[in-house]
Amino acid sequence: MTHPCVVTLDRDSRPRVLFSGDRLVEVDLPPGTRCIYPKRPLAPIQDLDAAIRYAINHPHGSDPLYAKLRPGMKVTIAIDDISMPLPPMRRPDVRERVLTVVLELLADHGVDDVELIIATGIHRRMKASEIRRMVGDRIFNAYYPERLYNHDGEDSKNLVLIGETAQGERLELNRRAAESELLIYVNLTFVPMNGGFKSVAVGLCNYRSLRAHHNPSTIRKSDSYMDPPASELARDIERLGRLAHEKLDIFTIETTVNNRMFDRHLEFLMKNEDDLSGNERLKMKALIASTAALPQPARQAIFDRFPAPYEVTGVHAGATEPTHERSVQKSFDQYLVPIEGQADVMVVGIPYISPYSVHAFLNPLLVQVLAQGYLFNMYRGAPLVKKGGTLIITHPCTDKFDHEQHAPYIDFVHRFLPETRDALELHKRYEQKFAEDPAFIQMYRSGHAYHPAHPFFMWYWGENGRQHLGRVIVVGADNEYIPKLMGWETAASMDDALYRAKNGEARSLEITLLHMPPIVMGDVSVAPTTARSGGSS
Amino acid sequence: MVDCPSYPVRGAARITARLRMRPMGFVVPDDLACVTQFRASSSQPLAGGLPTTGTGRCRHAHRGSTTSFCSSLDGRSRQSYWPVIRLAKVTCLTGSVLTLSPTYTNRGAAVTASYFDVDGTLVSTNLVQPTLFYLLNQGTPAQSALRLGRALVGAPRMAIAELLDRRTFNELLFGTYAGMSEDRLEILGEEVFEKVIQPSIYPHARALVEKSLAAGHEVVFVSGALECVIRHLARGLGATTVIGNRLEMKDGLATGKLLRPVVAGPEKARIVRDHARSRGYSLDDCFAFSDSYSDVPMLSVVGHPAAVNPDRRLALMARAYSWPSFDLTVRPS
Repeated sequence: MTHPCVVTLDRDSRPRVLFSGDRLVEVDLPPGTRCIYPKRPLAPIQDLDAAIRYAINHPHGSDPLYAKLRPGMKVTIAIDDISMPLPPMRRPDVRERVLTVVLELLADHGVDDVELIIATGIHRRMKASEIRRMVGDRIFNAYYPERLYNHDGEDSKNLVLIGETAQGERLELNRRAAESELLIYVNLTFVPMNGGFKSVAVGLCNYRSLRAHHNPSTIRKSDSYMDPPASELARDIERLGRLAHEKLDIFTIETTVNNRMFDRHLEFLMKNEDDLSGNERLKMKALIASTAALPQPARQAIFDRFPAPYEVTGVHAGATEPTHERSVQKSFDQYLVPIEGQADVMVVGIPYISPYSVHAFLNPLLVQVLAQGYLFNMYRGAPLVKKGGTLIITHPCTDKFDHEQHAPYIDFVHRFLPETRDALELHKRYEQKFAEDPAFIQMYRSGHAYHPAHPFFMWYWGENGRQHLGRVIVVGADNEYIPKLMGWETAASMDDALYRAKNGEARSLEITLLHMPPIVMGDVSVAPTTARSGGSS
Repeated sequence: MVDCPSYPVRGAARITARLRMRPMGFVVPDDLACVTQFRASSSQPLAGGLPTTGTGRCRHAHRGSTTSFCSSLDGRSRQSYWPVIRLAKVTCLTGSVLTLSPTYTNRGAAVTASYFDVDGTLVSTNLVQPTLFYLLNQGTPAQSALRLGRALVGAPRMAIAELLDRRTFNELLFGTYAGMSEDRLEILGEEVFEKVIQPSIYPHARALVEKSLAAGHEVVFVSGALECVIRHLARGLGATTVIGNRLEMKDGLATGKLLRPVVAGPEKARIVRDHARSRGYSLDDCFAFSDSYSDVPMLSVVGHPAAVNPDRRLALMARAYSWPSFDLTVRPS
């Protein structure tokens, strides 16, 4: 018996509605197509403040937070940045809720030397307004900017070498965090690859430390990023995370949210198109028509205007490993849908947002990382699509970049990709030199740009998808050259794309549609004879 | 063999470099009171790992000549000369290219260069403020008042020239220096730096220069300001080379005219091109930073231009061509 979130289309099924950037498009898919819908949102915690207090007073594998405190001690609180959740959640953000409780506890125990660091790693610096929105007015007014600030992965004076693993990987971390008597990490595990050892070892480190695992070789060895035990990336980061935990006293607080991405008036976007009421169908038509008619900046402004009404489903605290195990399980509970067998073709609509494009346009490189990186990796067990299979995406692939946030991406796409798409070659020939570009580093340090190494990492991020997939076909691209730069084909319509995917074969294709957003993951089981070949190559 | 005096070297304590070379009809001055540099081989390291043999050049720009005293050594290939050591003792006010401080780049020889405009890019001052300082600090208050009065009379012409042609503006502005002694210019240069320029350095300027040096770039300041002033800023920020304007001197007094080439506008592009060529850098690999639309020629000749605190027209151009654009004026949080 199939899961209720798995729907097989028949002749009478209505067209499916997919995201194509910040537009919605209707596509006809053949009968027999398997559509995987997100699960209903998990029930939220009713009394969140009580849950936070309970978590820090009854931690996993650690003394309670209050037992670690003593008057006059030096404490640093590191906080996840704006890249999660997507889109940003409605106020109050869960990080504000946790910080409020924690800061009160610190004050009660006479701990005054407290600094809050946004663990941006090499992501862009958050703007003051974004920080205020995330931590709330009260905390912002009390701490910003002297005691609440962004991590700077290029400030060599404020980075300190923590040590080296047996494999020769060096870890440099934020000096303030490293020299504190207690480091508290406030995390939001939005998807299973967030949080855990990654929080400190990535969020507070620098480019040199990231090179140890953010490289094509590691990514190629990773199966699903979303399934930590199968991810070489997660294993490498864990090694460095353990090193950090050996040297520092770290108390982790992790939270999870459900997948209520859309408010009540847009809830129909999560539903099976055949189950929509008459009223919802009308709303859907209106939304499709209006996103088609409005200019792009207006569409983006609309989507930016509506924060997601996510609700908190779990708060866990204590030692990183046992805490994270529980967060990952909660995440799986929300996202995993059991699937039997892999498909020849996977269809997915690329939405308007990614972790790296909050309040910015989703540029072509980020479309790539969503398609071949994140969405391809939305599985546990085996990839949703067979080795050598086809991924069909809907997106305009517009050659447009945010000049503030994604300045180094422009050079990557238009200078380096025309030279080669080979991730190993890019890594070897161009990455380090570009990562030291003083102009882009300055944009990262004093502006709000991503570090110049970031576009390279984004390309590597799609590496296991690239190695596994036979081809990627884009439906609805507004140009030919961007898909070509990415190594993709273009098709005028979904029918055309499916015809190409068939490639003259007589048998009918097994097609799977991953109906996102909100987030859904396939828990894919395959017969032993056709066990996974994907990911590594 | 020529014995060189000791020079401080960044990253090492002090070295005595003994240059083994074949003089080619050139007498190396005893005090090396000129800009000297050499490339050294790694075959005979000194204590501290510094090499001993190499080739060198000596510039006497103030005497109107540039002379190579040794173009090669023992038939060694250039590739073996590693790393670059720059030695300098600056006594020359009118040298065209000044290599300021002995510098070891992190990875040996500089692989490329970063060219920085100064006024408005790294510091908030412009050419007028140092000039005013000079005018107000003459021998007597009466002299200061006289010079200031003359400058004010010429101000409208300067304002028009600023709108039309930066080079003409520079020539008019530096005309107000006529009659100032070389000593005064030199001594006040340090004071101008301390009192006018140093407080105006943008918060992130030092970090930007440091990142360029860390990436192995030769850091060159290309400025329309007087070299005797900018030199101190370059020392303060760790830059290696200064290309600035120089005043013509007659009998120890400034004539008020600028020596050619006047560093301004399109001329900067030629200067940068020539400098890169003389150092063997590919312009495609070079960086340039400026705040002003008037420096677009300089920005356009390098492969990595960047707009720093750009004016409106430069900001538009940077956006159109996807040049990096950033602001050094914001205080680090």
